[in-house]
Amino acid sequence: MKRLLSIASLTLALFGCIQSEEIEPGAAWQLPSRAAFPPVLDALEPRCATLDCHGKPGRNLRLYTSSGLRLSPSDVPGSGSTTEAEYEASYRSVVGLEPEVMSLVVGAQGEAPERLTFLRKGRGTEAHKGGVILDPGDSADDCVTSWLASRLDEDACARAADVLPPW
Amino acid sequence: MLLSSSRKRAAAWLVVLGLCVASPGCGDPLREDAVRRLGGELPGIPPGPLHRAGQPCLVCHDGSTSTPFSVAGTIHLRIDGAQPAASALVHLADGLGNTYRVATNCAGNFFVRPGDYEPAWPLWVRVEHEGWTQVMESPVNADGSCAACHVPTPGPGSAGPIYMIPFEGEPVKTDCP
Repeated sequence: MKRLLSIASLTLALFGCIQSEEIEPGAAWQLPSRAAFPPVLDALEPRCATLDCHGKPGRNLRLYTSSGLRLSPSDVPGSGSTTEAEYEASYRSVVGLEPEVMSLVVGAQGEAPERLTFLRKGRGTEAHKGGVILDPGDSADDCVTSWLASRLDEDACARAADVLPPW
Repeated sequence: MLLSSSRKRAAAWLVVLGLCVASPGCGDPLREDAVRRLGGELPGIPPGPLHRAGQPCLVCHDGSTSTPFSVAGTIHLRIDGAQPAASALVHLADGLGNTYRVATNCAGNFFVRPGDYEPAWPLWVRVEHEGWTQVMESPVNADGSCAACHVPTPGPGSAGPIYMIPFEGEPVKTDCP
């Protein structure tokens, strides 16, 4: 019985190893385009980057935008535009969460993007205080997933960024 | 009757567990710390609708120890945040299109109970007071406490207090008790 249990445990452990995806040693990282990122952040800004969400300094995914957390100590939320330095810092934040998985997703032309935690949380398939932010098929989800697939849908990003108060 | 050492240990753990369950703050050190950082009540203003103007209401008013609020905050008269905007109208509109309107009291405070209105995020806010209107340009996505973001001093993480008149001026007489 003990031997059977040992074999079962070993088999399960091996399955665990086999199922986890890893980048091959020496393989090049394939990260999403930095140049194409500004429209993506603009689309995320009203949904994710507000000061009560990922515009908080304590968040792992920390987004800097003109209406949320500012990067420069002299800037204030709600004034000016999102700066190049803020796009850069936000890009690093998004890419730096799970760089290995992101590289695998981008390397597969954006296939199965839900491998990324930030997409699962955005879609609400993993616990997320902010609820469902991205619905597959809506403009914000199309914007993010097209960016991960290296063929940015600029129209979707523009529509997603165009969130206006109801008055 | 003498208890064995293992039973004594189990009994001790049960006592600790019981104390923890009885204590409302036990189990959430972050909340306890946030409450502690708010400090004590101001002299002359007892706990109630007029207290702690400008503080993040939902830190305490989350239903665990105080009346739960879904949205609450303080509206100031002028940009300096020195005086309250009494009888300002706070308009709320949520992601499902449900709207609600609430007025501030003499301390500038307003609060909404979940039974009256519990917004589905995102929440949009507009405030009116004596001909002045302020519209919040970005939505609220997760925190019903205005002061969680609107702290007294503007900086990279806050636009500062919520105010109605965008310039300083003479103090206005208030009738708050």
